[in-house]
Order: sequence, then C-alpha cells, then structure tokens
Amino acid sequence: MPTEQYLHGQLAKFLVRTQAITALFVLLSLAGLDFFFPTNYRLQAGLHGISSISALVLGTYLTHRAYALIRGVHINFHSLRYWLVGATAINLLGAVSGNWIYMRYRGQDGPKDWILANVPAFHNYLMEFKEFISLFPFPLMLVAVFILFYYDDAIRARRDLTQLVGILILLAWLFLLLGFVAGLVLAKLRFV
Amino acid sequence: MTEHQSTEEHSKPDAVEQATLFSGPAIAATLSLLLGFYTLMITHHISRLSKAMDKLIHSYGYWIPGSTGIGPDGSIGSFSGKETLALLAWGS
Repeated sequence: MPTEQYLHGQLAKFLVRTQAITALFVLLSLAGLDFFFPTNYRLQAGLHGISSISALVLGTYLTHRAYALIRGVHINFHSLRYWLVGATAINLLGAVSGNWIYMRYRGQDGPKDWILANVPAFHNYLMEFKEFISLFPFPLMLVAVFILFYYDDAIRARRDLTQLVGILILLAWLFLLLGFVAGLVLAKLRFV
Repeated sequence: MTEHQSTEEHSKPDAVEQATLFSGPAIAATLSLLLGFYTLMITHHISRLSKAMDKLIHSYGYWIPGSTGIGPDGSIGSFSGKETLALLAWGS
C-alpha cells in the first residue's frame, strides 16, 4: 500500500511538471515564432513577445503567492523574494524591449500610420492607454521586492505589510494582463 | 493557565519585533511610485498642449537610445521624456 501511494505521488509530480513545461513552451512559441517572421523587426518583436509572456506567466504564478500573503498563512519568504526579483527583471526587460518595438510602431509606414488611417480609435484609445499602463508592473514589483528585502523575515510580524506586498503583486498582474491583451490586439491588427 | 502563559510568551517577541519595525520605508516606497505614475500622466497632458511643450518634454528623454530619429526605424519620441521625468519623480 505505501508503495502504491508512492507511485501515485511520483506520477502526479511527473504529470504536473510535464504539463507546466509543455504549457510554457507552447505559450512562448506564440511570440518565439516572431523570430522567423518576414520582417526586419523580428528580433524586437520576438524579444518583446517572449519577455511579455514570461512576465505574465511569472506574474500569474505570483498572484497565487499573493493570496497566501493576504490571507496571512505561512509562506516561504526566502523563495518569494527570489521569485519576485526574477519577475521584476523580466518586467524590466519587457519595458525596455517595449520601447525598442515602439520605435518601429511609430516609424514611417509603421503600424501607427496604418492604424490611424484605418481604425484610429485603436491608437487613440488602446495604444495611448497601453503604452502607459505597461510601465506600471516593473516599479510595482520593485517596490514589493524592496519591502521584502528591507524588512527581511521580521515582516512576518507585520500582517499589514505582507498584505501590502500581496496587493502590489495583484496590481502588477492586473496591469500586465491589460498591457498584454492590448499589445496582442494591436499586433494582430497590424504587425511591425 | 499553561496555554495562556505560553501564548503570552509567544506574543512577547512579536510585540518587540513589531515595535521596532517602522512603516515609513514601505510608505515612502509606495508613495514615490504613485508620484512617478502621476508625473507620467501630467507630462503626457503637458506634451499635448502644444508642439513646443511636446519638444520640451521630449528633450528630457534624449539620453535614451532611439529617442530621436525618422524613417522606417522610427523613434520613441516624447514618450522617452515622459519616462525620464517619471523616473526622476519616482527616484527623487
């Protein structure tokens, strides 16, 4: 009986890991294939797409940790700090690569010109909204990182601060999702 | 009674730890972030007032590679200045 339980446990672990790796690989190919698109800006597009998807995946994972922070249950702060540092770095890459691809968006005969000529509302409302909110997740996560490192393990004694960190993570995720969907819609409308 | 005593014993270090943990740094970090976001909004509206204002805002972002330029490769434009001013407000 104990052997059976052990085998079941191993199978579940194997399937969970396989599912996570498969999902990540397939999701990343959504932007990774941009590297093979027939455009001079494939590098910018691929890099921004991969960093955005990675940031969203990491951000979504961190929302699960955020609810533990908000509920006040036991949490491994050591691991959370490093996951957050990773997510912050990916978000910075997303913002920097976003600036890079934004250059082509505004370039001569670029997506902006086409969108303004055909469906101006998508630029005037969606892009104008997206370009600002996409800058929010990086600093929000950086503040969460600062709080976790500054207060270190002593933060366990301050429920209000752990809740603040949880809310910062949730806000970062919200802006990530909004920016990601807006970016995807614009890329579908007119690719670089 | 024993349980009551042990709860008290546990709460003492927590109370001491809580007393030495100041909220200031967390509040400062969060408020500075909001100031950065606010600057982003204000500078955007200022840049929309006139071409001269847009150029002025843009000039703060000249240090960012790709902030100026024309042609198919484009440039970041005055958005680079808005980012710079927001960063300054956030960091200062």
